[in-house]
Amino acid sequence: MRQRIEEAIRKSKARYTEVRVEETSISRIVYRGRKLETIQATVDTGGIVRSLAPGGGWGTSVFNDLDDLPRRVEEALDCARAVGGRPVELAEVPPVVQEDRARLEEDFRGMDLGAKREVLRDYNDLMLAAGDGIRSTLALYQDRFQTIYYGNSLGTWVVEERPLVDIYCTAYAVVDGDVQPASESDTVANRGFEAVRGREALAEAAARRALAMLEASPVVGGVYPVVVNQNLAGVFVHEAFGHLSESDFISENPEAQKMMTLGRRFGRPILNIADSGVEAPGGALCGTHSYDDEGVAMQRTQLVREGVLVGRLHSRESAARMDERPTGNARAEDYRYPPIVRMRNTFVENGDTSFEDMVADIPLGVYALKSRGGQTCLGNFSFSSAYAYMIRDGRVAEPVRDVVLAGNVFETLGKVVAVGDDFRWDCAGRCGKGQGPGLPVGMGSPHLRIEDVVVGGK
Amino acid sequence: MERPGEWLDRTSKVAPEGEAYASESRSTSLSFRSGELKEVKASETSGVALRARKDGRLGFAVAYGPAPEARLLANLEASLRLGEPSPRGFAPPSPPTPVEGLWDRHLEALNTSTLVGLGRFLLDRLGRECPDYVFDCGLARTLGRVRYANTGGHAYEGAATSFSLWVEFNRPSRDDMLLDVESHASVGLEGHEELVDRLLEKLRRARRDASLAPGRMPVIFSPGAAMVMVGPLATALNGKQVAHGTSPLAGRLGEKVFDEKLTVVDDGTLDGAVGSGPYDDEGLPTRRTVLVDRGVVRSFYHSLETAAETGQEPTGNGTRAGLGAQPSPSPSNLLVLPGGPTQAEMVRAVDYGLLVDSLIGVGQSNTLAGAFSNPVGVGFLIEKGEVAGRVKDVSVAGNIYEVLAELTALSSDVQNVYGAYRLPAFRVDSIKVVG
Repeated sequence: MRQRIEEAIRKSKARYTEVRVEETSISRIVYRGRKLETIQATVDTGGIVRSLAPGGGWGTSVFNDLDDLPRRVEEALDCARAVGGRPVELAEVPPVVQEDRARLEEDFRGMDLGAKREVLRDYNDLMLAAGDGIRSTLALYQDRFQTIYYGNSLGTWVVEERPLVDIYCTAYAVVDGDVQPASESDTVANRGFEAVRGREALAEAAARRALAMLEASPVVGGVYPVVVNQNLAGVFVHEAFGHLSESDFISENPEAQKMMTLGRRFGRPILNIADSGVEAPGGALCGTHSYDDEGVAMQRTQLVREGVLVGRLHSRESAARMDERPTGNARAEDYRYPPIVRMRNTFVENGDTSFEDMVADIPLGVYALKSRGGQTCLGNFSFSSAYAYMIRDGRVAEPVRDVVLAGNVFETLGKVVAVGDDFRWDCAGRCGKGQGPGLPVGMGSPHLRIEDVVVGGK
Repeated sequence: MERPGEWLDRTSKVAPEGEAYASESRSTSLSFRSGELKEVKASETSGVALRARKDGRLGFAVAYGPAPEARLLANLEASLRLGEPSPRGFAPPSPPTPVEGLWDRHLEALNTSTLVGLGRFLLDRLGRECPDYVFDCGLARTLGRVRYANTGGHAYEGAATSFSLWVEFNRPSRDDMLLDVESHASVGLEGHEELVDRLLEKLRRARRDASLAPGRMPVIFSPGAAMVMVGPLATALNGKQVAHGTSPLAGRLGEKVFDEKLTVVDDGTLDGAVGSGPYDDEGLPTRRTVLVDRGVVRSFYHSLETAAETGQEPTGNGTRAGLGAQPSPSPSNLLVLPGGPTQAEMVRAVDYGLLVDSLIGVGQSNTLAGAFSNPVGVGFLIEKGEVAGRVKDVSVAGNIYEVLAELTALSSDVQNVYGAYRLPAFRVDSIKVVG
């Protein structure tokens, strides 16, 4: 493979050429209710060439058939020539040569599909047996083993194996036309099938919560002090702040650069935020890799230190444009897409407030747990929490549902008045950014207390 | 491109009944950032999805790219061995639904430089009229082909072109960011200028700020914003949700659930529409199905599987969400039939109210139960029949089973949104606007 790719790059007449080839095998099992909806295996091989002509921007070619590689290198250059305009510059990085192999305890590639199905069926059965109100379920298992071959005209050659396992349990509780779904899931990198065993708690929690939500009342809309748990805080920081730190957007938008000027105060001194591709190396975090998809070594990038904006996330292109250093954030979902600036593992650093102290002086507030989804239009965000409780007189009180938090990130980060002492990596998931089905990212945080949050509701 | 007939010869070694679905897509896409062309991308991808049936069990396997025969067949056999019994077979032979205008020769012949010229032309116009905004934009031209065959003697080939365009605009200031996206999809180049017209009108309206006194008031949802209600409705009409008892509309066929102004139709037979085709993705002819007739629930949309599970008629809505997924019900073109007044007349009829152009976080609440609660992305105050200015920091919340039970008006002019939804603007008077 290396010889084929390097030869194709050598023959390229472009100013810069890079080739990424992926070989992927996927197995996927889905139960819906009592029914096995699918059990399947997929093979997916393809590649992408990106190149720069003497002038102008990127030319890209995507293909499946590796025998076409020399022709695709030419096609990418033809595309680059069609772009024209001022030349794209890339920040300099040293060439690297590295091959990383994954080591899995219980390698899911060699496993019988039937053995995988049995484990998933047990979890599905647990949800179905949890109560009469459980009308249906969705239990999903997916493993993906991806081998990435990357070479570029700087002489970089990287091979990385990226195993990824997803498990997903949703229970649907239905009574009198009221439908309450509840989900628990995990996405685990660099682990074998052992990551899926012994996860009965996911199924049990999903079913228990779906039933509990039938009893919960919709929250009364208003402005409240809100305490968010690790999961929701992690997603909040990813969505509301992390996306603003992605410099592909701001590098070409002078007004947005002013908005994100380094040194600007975003929060109180208790607030520290970072994005890192090197946390827990060899561990299960799905944003940790040796190199990004431009062959740039990953690193830890501090974004906010003591409440002040101190850094941002770069590709080689955005770094050159802003005269900063690349951070190893050029990531691609798969060979169908070029790498763009994306987060890795984004997190709020641990603070020193205990959960009890955080809620103690709240007469009336909301304790929101677990993200159901979030969207941000840069400044403005909206998050829905999967479940929540009212806080009354300093104590967590009755469950409420349909809690949606909304606000403006510039104001809201400034209203983070307490940072918990209970940091957890939680919510590994997929981030969508206008490409395909989503890129695996990690998120983490301790509990946070935020003042004056607009909570939608009836 | 893979030949399904040849694959059937191979699957016959594994199982007596089989089906092969091959697809190929060639596309050229451009992306502009801050008004400048950044990337031209050529893409050519293909793959094959196989299903087989033996002793009543169903197996499924997929390969993207040139299929490695031995591995693909081994995967199919493994799936077949473990699949649970499935009573239904594959689609029987049937004549195609006659649909015209799915292949646009002009689009097929378009070269990259013409496409680049089109993008520049649109951005020049936007930049000239709204120099205070930054525009990002993407254009894509796709030529898609599918081939289908099964052992029941059914076989067909289909082809369609598509053109898509999106424009994202933003106007950042220190603490406020106006940012939104408009998108368009069509078989050929038709209709894309309307996106620019719509966008320019929106940006002109957003020049002025206005403040709105929260409370209960008339709210007009643009066709795009109306997806906050039509999305959950489409989910509830999905045969799969019905089969699993997770749709609030399950068991309510024949019941009047919604306002009589509301008629919803799924139509895969429309000429020249992106959601149309002679067959669905599992070989059933497409059709027109009235789902909600003047407020009364009349039908759900189904794949072969969910039709069999519910004992209802198949509707030709078996759709593959990519090659890697088995056919599952999805709307073809989903239409909410238009009402009386134009959108302009609807605005003129409001003394004090909110015009919602876009919402943030659509689809993130408990959509199965019909709940929604969303901050307004772009919205305008209507005062004495005129758009008075852009309002910020307001949100709307409700439940579609209450809101769609009492509609004040639907507009006569409709718009294609989210690809294959064709919707009017909705006026609702029962929503509380929170500020």
